[in-house]
Amino acid sequence: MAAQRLLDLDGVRERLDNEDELVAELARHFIERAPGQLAAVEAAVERADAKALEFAAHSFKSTLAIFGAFPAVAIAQALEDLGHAGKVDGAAVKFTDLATLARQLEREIVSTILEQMR
Amino acid sequence: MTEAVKQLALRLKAKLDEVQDRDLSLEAKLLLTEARTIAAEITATLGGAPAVLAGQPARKRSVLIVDDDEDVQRTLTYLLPKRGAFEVFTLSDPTQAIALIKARRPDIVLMDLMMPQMTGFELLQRLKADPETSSVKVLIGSSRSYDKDRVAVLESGAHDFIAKPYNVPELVLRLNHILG
Repeated sequence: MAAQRLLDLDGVRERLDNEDELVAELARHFIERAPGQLAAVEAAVERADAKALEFAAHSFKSTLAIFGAFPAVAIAQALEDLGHAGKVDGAAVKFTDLATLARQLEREIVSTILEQMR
Repeated sequence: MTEAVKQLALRLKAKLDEVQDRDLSLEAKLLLTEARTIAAEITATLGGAPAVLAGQPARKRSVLIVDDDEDVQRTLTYLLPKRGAFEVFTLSDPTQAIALIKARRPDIVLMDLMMPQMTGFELLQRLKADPETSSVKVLIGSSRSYDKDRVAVLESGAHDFIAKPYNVPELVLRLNHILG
């Protein structure tokens, strides 16, 4: 089975009705805000705060979903589900995977969207 | 004092409406839209006519977006007026929504289901329980994948449910469908 792509640019453009200027704006905003959102997830995991984990993972998932980042969205969803269930078991491992994918996605967004649209 | 501030807000709104935005950058267009919304909200807060609504042609439908996600606000503030006869104003804090809805009388409220201060589900229940807001049309958006959420909001009186991230052409169709 082929690996899912980190970024679904065609899907992003379709959802935003081919407004490339807006796609670039959201990409720039992703680069600015993703580290903070990821840090919020990490903090919730470290504090074992299930409610905070649910909200932080949900918020980051929404940002990732804009770019059709399905592998990362799936992990964020799993973290959100854990928090929703009042649990944090296994969250640290999932967070590590999420952080790795988020950094890869950042690089992909820079090379695929921001550098192309300069 | 209140009347003087209200008049200033109306003058500010009128001046902002004179700005031709076709040659502006996207960022400048977004700032201009936000400035127009703020001027209208000052007027509405002071008990004046909802300036944005009163100042627009009747065919434009007003959409209040209650969502704490800045990307959603930016995207829809920019795209909905371009893709349909919509006027958009936004709110990040759902606890202020009922007062704003009473003041501005939007044609429809598009609200997120999961917000930190108050869930969209709770806001929907409050809207439906208040005779002044019970008839407002509501479209719920969410990236949560729990089926029970969809059923619960529809049972509570929402007109429709749409998945996030929003597909703008789909959202425009749903808004037009609900608004008739």
